[in-house]
Amino acid sequence: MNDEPVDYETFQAEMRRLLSDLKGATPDVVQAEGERLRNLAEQVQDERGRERARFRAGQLPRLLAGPAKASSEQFQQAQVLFARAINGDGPAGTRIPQLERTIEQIGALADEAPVREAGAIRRLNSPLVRLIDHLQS
Amino acid sequence: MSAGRPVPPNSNEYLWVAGVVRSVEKLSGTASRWNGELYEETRSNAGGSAMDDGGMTVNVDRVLKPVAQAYTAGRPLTEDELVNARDAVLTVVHEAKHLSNTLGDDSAPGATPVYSPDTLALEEGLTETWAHENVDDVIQDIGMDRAQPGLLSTESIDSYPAYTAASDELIRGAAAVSGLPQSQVREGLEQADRTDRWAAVADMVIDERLGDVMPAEHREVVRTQLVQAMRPHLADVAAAQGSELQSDVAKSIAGHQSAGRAVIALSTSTTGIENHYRDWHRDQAINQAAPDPEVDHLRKFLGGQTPPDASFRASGGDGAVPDNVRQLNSRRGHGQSLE
Repeated sequence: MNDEPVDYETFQAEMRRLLSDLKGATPDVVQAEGERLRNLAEQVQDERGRERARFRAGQLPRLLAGPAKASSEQFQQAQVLFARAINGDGPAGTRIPQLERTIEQIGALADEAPVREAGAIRRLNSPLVRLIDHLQS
Repeated sequence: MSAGRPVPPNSNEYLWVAGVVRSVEKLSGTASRWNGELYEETRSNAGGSAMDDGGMTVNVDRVLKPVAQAYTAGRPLTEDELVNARDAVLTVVHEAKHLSNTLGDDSAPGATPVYSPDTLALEEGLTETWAHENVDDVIQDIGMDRAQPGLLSTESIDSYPAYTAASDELIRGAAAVSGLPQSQVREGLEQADRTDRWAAVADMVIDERLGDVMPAEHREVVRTQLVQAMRPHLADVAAAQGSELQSDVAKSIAGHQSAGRAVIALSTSTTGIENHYRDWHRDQAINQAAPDPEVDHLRKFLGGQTPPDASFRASGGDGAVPDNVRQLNSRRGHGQSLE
């Protein structure tokens, strides 16, 4: 590792590479690469970039573990509704009203769910909205 | 229609969304196809959506208000307010990322329909992973952490646990089969048109494993065979997602396992195809090295030199074996018996 100054974009490209290449890697490898990334963060020249890079380098193990998983009953029910809507078939005239009903049901589940899971549930509706637009076009 | 009133381009709300789109563009290294049109989402239960024509909708109550509150509260947000504000950012980051690839042409060889369950699973899996990995970087890039530092320590939930697990496993497996780094496979998939994601996996494997043995004109047929070997397994992910009997962790595991089966099918098919071409090249070399009048006579009697064939039969659904049994016609130096 040399001590040449780097910009945030260089750090960010390395972070992106590691986020993919270290998926499934052993804890020892993740630790070693994390240490190298922290050293790289210290070489970022401007203060704001260095601050961001330090923060991002510290996130590496958590990001490799993936986002938090939901545990509520509402989330589980929303997943089932979403999958059935996506896997549905038939003419647009039949599917669109079904998709609209599913969006309503998923929205109701999001309203009932714990706050930390409500957004994740409601985001399931975005592809359904896109699918309706597609079927209407 | 989900698009309601236009959000005024000179409003803070519009400028904030435009800032997020620019940040996603910069951090992903891919130009956005956002056409600058931003509308209020008419469905109260949807946060927003990137539309196929390049426009975007955002929900005023679910997205724009929590974001505005983050800047105007004049105090640290409460825990619940932080969750809502971060969900709002994540929604726009996710939708903006959808606009970093094009839909593609689903009539092209090896292409798949944008809204087929397996193609959608890949798109949502890749996009959700990117959004969670980069949402903090976007928040910092647009300076929102200065207004609410607590946004960076707030947790967000994976909307698509089966899809993110499946796309991660597919990338890991395709990297192993092709010999490419996972980062290169992921980048290739993210940048491919949505209809061409499966074909992109197949092309990477063809380039790395078969490029030196396979005649270039066989690519379309071989690509289609590899795509057909993988796809049914990822369609299982969508089916598993719809099961009421599985917990979310179990769905994540099912997504991983389904993608694992797709990778096994890819690996088996690739090895079968590779062996087929290598066998043909070896036979060619032997024949050229030791011309034997008797063998030559026998070959003429049997109908000429056998060329390689790009057609394989699947074995048990997961594998592929060379179709060396069928009578082939020799037309050029490399076989052209494509089906």
